[in-house]
Amino acid sequence: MSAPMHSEKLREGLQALRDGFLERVTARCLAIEGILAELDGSDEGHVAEADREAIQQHAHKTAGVAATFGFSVLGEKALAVEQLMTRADGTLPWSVARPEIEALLDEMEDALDEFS
Amino acid sequence: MKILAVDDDPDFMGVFTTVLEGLGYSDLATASSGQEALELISRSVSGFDCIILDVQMPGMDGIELCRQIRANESYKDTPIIMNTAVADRDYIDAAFAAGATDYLTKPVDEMEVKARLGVIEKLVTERLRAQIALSHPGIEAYSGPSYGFLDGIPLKRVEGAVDLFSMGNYLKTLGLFRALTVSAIGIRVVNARSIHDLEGGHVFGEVMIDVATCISDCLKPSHRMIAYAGGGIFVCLMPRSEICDPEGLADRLREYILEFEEVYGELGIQLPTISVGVPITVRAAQINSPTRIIDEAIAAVKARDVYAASMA
Repeated sequence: MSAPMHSEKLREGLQALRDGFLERVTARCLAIEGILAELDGSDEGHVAEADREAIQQHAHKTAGVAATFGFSVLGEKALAVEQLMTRADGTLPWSVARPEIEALLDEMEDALDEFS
Repeated sequence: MKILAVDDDPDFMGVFTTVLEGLGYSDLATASSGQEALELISRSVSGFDCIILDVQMPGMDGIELCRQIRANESYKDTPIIMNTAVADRDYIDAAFAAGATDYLTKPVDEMEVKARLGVIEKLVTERLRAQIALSHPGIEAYSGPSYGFLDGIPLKRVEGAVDLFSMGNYLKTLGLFRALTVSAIGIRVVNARSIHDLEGGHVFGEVMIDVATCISDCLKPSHRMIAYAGGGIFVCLMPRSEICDPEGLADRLREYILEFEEVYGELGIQLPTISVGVPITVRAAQINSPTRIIDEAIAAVKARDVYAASMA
């Protein structure tokens, strides 16, 4: 997923919207970290339906616009997590899900560090 | 062109409205949920010319919203575009079945939006022109629409019917492997020209809708997509695994059409005669232009008639 080319006028418009996007990335990052924290470091068992839906929604919203704001890698990681969560049934083990989710969280933090 | 855009994500909506306004589409209303969109539609006096929906929304999703908008008589022909992320592709079939006209991909690509909305704007203008022509004082108040022989005919009353433009858009959404699983088949009313010339454009339109209903009844409900290509020719999409024997399908269709024999006989209208072409599948070499199977299905059923005539 490469960053789309934008006209000058659109670039200016996106600049004004980026702060709002980063605020929401912060909130999503905290929400996903909260879900992982409740597991208390254990990767045993499967991802519960409510957690799967919550992470899928956070990833979906991030994937939809990250590349437009210039965060192409973040968009890719979010899409990977979204697809993993969308295709999963009730048997997705945390041991499979966690590395993908951690990679997304790392990328979210990088994006936030870049503009803090 | 008055546009309604619906998406629950404020970031995406911000980006999308910025792009639309930058392209000159400033007559724009937005809603953040299906319910809000339906309220805006019911309150709008002049209506919307084009509606753009997110697929995944909490509560009522974009597919259900599309279905509910289509159920509103005033929006039966309004272009509805689905905004789809890569992960939404599994929903595409359902979106087209619910009445979607086209799709846009996330993340937003300014050039893609410009190209797709440019085509939609032309459609909207054409439809407006047609409506003005029909409401002209020279036309009787209660006469139905009259169609030229090659005109498109809306098949809104027919289950599984889409317009040819939407069918092409559907094929483009399928991607490499799914496109290879689809086949197209052309169906032709051999005496269409004669019916048109003898009965006029209005009756011709009704006869074609009757034929489309018979085609719809013949095909499996979950797997049919039917479009009218003009000139008495229909194109149907079906899974490759269900490729049917053209003669078998033609025989079944003739049986359905025979049910109209008495009514048509009383009205003095000749019964449509049916010809079915060979099924056309997407070949790996033409994967970049999957819509070609529509043209090839049309060409195949025309060629079949030429062959049949030369053998007679």
